[in-house]
Amino acid sequence: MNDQEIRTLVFAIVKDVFKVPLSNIHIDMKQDDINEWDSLGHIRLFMTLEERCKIKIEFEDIKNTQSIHDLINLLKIYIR
Amino acid sequence: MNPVGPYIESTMGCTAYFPGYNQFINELLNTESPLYTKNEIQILFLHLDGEELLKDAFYFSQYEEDSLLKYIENILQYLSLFLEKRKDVIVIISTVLFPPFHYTTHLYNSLEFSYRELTQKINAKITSYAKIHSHILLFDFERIVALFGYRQICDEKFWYLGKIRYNNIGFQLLAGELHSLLDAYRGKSKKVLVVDLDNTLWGGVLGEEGVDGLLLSEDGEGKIYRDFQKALRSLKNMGVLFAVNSKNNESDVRELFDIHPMMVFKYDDFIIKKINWENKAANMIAIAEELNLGLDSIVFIDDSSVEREMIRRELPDVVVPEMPGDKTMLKKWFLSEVIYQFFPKVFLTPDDAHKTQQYQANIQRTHSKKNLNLAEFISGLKIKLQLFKNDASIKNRIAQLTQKTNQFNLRTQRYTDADIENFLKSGTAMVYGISYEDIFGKEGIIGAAIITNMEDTCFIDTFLMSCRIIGRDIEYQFLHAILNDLQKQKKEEITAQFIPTKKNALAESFYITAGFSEQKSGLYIGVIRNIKNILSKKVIHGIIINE
Repeated sequence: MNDQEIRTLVFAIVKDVFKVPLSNIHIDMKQDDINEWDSLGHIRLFMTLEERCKIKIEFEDIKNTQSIHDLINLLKIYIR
Repeated sequence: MNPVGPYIESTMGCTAYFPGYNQFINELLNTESPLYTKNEIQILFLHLDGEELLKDAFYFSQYEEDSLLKYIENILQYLSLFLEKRKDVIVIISTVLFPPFHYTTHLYNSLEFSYRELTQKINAKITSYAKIHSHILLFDFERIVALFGYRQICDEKFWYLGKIRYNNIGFQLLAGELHSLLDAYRGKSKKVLVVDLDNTLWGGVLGEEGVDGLLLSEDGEGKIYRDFQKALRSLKNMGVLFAVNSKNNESDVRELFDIHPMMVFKYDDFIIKKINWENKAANMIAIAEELNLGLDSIVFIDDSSVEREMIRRELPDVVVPEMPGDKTMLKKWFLSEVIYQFFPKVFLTPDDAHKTQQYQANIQRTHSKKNLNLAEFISGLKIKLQLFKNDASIKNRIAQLTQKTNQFNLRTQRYTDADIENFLKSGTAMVYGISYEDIFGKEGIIGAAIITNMEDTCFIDTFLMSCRIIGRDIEYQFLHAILNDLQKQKKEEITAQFIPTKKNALAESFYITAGFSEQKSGLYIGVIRNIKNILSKKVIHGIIINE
């Protein structure tokens, strides 16, 4: 998967989990910028990520992800 | 439990409301809470977490056991309080999943109070509680996890991140099985199991190997098929009908069933046998027609992937489950997958055990009908009817009839046991049933009617009859008996309605023929005395009706 594909994947998941229109999503968004991204939303985000990408993300990595930028970097590590 | 929301939405097409974290007891006790005030809530699902229940229960002592059991009893009491106020809600209570490991390991061998016994007692309490009301259902989560595996559905990291016990697999499973339970509660079981013969009920091809060459015995490979037959035939007790759809010579098959000592099925277990060299899809259509059932009531089992694909393509309404490639899996596959998916049951009615006989009797009636004119035929049947009035003991059957009857059904209102109970308790409705018996046998209760608005002008909310009995004017008898009863209660006028559906054109002119006047499209009104007069001329005399 190349960078562009990962970015598209992440945006799609953010849209589905947090119900944010695609046009509103940009790479600099952080947890505080999205209403539904509370602690429960965080769990749902990672459950969806794990299911869709068929990966298992470690506890530490889940805790340390706080923005879309972090998410994309994380996936780059896990998918490659 | 929050992450189960999206799975419930996609599986069941409805949204879920979750009380605040650990707030469920508060909400159950507070009659102003959303649990009580949100009228859209139709189903309450209570799922307790085993680990949280036991918390830091140290060793097991009398005290620990008593407090925990008392806690469970209290919760069940609060549920009952909720049900008092919200009689319209179905409560589903889950058996509790306890981790299959504890530091006391095998101490249940010597301790008076052990992990094993306590966890079993908790689930026993919950199981007994669910039996009290027909609208409290048990969701056996323990069984589901036993099948799938504790490790597969739990994920500790989500617990530490936000007290979420299961992973997405767990939640998907939960939503799917809940859906399945509700379908079963709503009576959505299939009615007919159609089977192929060669390499399905036995190993080998009868026409090629002959009776002696077939695999069907108590050992080795033959046992696979004998066990499979046992699994299939177990549905006989559930009111399921069996039929054969096989390419074979009928006489060869008849002979096989007569002489093979290891055959589990009897030839007559199959109410219809299409054993010929015709196209299986044509046979299937004939089976459905002869039983007067839709193709969507049929589940078809055939070892040939070619036949399975063909039926799926030609008759998409027929359910054709994919058979396991490994034939040693046949019995387990059928019991754990097919029955749960297509023949689930929550309640059994006395009629279920005799379904095959009833359908057989009906086929006999249809055959003899062809040779007589109608009046002679009907009087020759020596029909006996019995009217039931506001009888709580038949509420399961009445609810079942409202769910299953599509053709002679005037308003197609679907009701659950709880709904019927509410009608019975309301004081402003009458619930009638009618049972039928003739020289060929007893049919049980085959018609239902619900009259509402008794405090004003009564309205026929529900009027239906099983299509097996249509054509003998029993529906007019039934209506006549009901009007008779309403007259005794000093009722003079009655209103009714016909709501057209794809399947009930048969009933369209019923009220007009009975003597009602059509007020507006589909709405009818009648004077009871007058309608009774008209019906007395229609009903066949000599039919005994007990009230």
